[in-house]
Amino acid sequence: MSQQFSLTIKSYLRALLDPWQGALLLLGVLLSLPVVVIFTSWIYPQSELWQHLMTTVLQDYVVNSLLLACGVGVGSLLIGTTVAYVISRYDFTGRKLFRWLTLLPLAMPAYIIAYTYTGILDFSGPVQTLLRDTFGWGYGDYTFPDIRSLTGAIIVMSLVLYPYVYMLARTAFSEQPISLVEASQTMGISKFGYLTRVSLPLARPALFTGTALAMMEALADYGTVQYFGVSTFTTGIFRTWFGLGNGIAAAQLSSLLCSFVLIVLLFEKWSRRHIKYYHQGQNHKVQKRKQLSGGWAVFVFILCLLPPLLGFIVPVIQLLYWTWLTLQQNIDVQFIELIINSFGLALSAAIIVVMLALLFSYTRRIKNSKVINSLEQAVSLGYAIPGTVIAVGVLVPLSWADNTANLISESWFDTTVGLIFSGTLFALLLAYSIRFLSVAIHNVEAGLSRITPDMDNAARSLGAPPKRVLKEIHIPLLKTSVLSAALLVFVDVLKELPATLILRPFNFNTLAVRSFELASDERLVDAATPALAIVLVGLLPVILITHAIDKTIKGKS
Amino acid sequence: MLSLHNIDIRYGNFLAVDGVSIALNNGEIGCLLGPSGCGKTSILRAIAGFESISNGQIKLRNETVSKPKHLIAPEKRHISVVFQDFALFPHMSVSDNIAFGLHKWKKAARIARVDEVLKLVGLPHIAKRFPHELSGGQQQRVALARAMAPKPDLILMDEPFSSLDAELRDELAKDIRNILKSENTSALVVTHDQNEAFAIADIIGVLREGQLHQWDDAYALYHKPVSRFVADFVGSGVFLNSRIDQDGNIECCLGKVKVDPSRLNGFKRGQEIELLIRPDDIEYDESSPIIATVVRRSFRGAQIMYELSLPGSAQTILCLAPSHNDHAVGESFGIRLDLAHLVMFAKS
Repeated sequence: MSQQFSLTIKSYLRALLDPWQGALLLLGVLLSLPVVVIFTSWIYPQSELWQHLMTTVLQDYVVNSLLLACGVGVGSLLIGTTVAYVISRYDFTGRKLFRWLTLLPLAMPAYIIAYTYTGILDFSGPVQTLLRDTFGWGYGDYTFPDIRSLTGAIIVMSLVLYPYVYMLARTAFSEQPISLVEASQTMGISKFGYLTRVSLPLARPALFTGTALAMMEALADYGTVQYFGVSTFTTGIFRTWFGLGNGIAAAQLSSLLCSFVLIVLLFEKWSRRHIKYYHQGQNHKVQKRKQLSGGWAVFVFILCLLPPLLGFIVPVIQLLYWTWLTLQQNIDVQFIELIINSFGLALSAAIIVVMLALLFSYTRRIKNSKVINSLEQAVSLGYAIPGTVIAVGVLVPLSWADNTANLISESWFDTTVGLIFSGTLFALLLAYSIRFLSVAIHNVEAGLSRITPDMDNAARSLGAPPKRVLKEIHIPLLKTSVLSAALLVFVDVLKELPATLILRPFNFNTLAVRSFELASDERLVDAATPALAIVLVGLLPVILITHAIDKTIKGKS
Repeated sequence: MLSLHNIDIRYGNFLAVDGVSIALNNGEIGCLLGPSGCGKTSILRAIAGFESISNGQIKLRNETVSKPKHLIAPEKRHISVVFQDFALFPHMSVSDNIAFGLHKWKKAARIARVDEVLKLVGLPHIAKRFPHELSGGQQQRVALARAMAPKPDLILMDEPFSSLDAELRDELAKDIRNILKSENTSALVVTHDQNEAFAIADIIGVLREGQLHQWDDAYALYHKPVSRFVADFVGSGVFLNSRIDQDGNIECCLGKVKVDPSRLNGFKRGQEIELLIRPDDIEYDESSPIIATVVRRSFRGAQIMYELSLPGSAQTILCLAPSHNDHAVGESFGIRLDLAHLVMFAKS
């Protein structure tokens, strides 16, 4: 054990000495700094504040966060699995439509759907107005459930997060070979028995992975719960820092939230521990879909239509209506500045993150060292860490760095340099890099894996020097995956709310921040234009993902 | 053309190739044969320039291309490689793949050469297709065409048939041999399958655990193996426990074998030895006094391979008998030892 440990230390030291790997190692340290910071924050105990938290709100944070995560997990699992199963097993009119329709809610950030539904279900909104007009009710004649509640948050978040389960479930169901159905039939197992005893257990790892992703998103959410007034960890972190002014306690709360996420992550890993056994032969015949007609076809059609209808179409129609109402006054210089800010920020982040991903992937390809492998795994965990947590973890060390820099410059040059780290875009770009690097690495590595080392060797032995190999083999083959990585990061950054809210420089607004602020000020109609812009740009990666899924499924059959 | 002088290849502390020397003449097809992990692919990669060597040197056209801490880049060696997975460039058509190594040629010459090699491998009609549209056998031929196009001094092939169906392999091996010979291209092939080696190569090296045991033609490997490993790995046969008697003859359960005294160099009288008996060393002979019993049989069309037990011996021997001598398991018949090549090893 201790020998192995010293070997690991040695390999890290050796990596540090190699300039290439050393630079990467330092970069890795920078990218994992926030997590280290929030977990080490406990060395400064804030006992008084914790006493206060424990007697007042901590229980709410824990219970609400857990209920939210579990509720969204169950909701997404139910919706995603049902739709995926129906689409992979049955043929019915309109089925082709649902292959992409079902994914549309991916483009809808949870905080946007949250305040859109608040507007729709408001006292003065279309639903209640219709009810009053139909039944002749007046104010106070009826009770209407309040969407701004924990249950409301679970419902709206399930409506936009179920595609995570759907995507993985659809591939898993489509992969199941017909031989399994035939084998079950010869053993006298009924159709329902096949579903519960073969099909669902086989798809279980995929279903759980999707559920875990949805749960992690739910734990990370800030906008929805804040808007709905539900006290969770994320809102608690905000309140502790900006309300109570205690950054260290905020970091400590963040570490608790992080532990919750870690548990979900472990649950996901655990559910996949036998994943190998779920993929048997490669060239098998897939199951034929059963043709539906009549009442069943209508039922299934409505079943499949409901999630995208409620999760995308209805809110988008509402947003379109609001935007139309306010179009002339809202498309002004300020809005154009918002667009430029958001797109510029998202584009810079996309370029930086993709470059980092290329750096990590290529170093791993060339060096193939254990150090780089573990480093890549560490930075890939960023997707699991909530934006709020990353923001806190970035802000604590950067504020310290700024203070130190100002102290030094004041004592040496008698002037202050200002907030050069924490008050600039640097902080934001660092946070985005941490959060979205894994998305980019995943895409880049998928592309890079198609270029086998022997292709490099073949090109070299055919007389091509490395430069020509890069230009004629790597760039053309990698182009698509690099572009899609950049697009995914671009859209993720555009939608990102909590980290941007905390880390943006003074007076720097983005579409997401502006939209959320307007909605929080009860200016829902004005919030619609920036929200719609985010949703429309968010559709781009959905198209990409639809193609990718269709390709995998076609490739398998 | 190619010569390896006592080369070592190391991965960390592991010595993958240990003092291997071989030489290949112009136009010759060589083969490195051995079980997986014997170092054959490492040697191939070292010759191509993908791998450095820790001792010895590799010469091409009498010019040193590899020695410890000195490596001429792969693109400067004028060696082509056909990879196990073919490594065709997926974004290029067949003709672009083949033309990849010809970018310094004039356009007309390039087009003509692409046509020429495509005809040579028998696929003139697929120039515009893409690798994923080809069958495994077609991909293999395109990979060979791409390797041959720049008229390299040497072509290296790494398990070239392993990803193809068994029925295709033999035929393709013969085809490829003819194609290589028609352009008088030297080649070195790596394989673990002796039938492939016999079908394609002029000269074969048998490797085990990084060491070259024998560098010889197929006949010599089969009939005059220099080590017990080669005898065991190449062809089938049994090692019969025997003894050299006081007169210098060999005594075994098949009787006495007279031996020329010059063949007994290194062996003592009275020494226990193992005698290699190939299936073709045992002849079906009804008049023979040695009666063997069939333990197992496998029908091979013109012949039947019998596994036979002998009275007074725990060992079984193999006999390849003409198919018309049909005997069921448990039946007995007479056999005679007709040892054309005496191969024996001291008992380990």
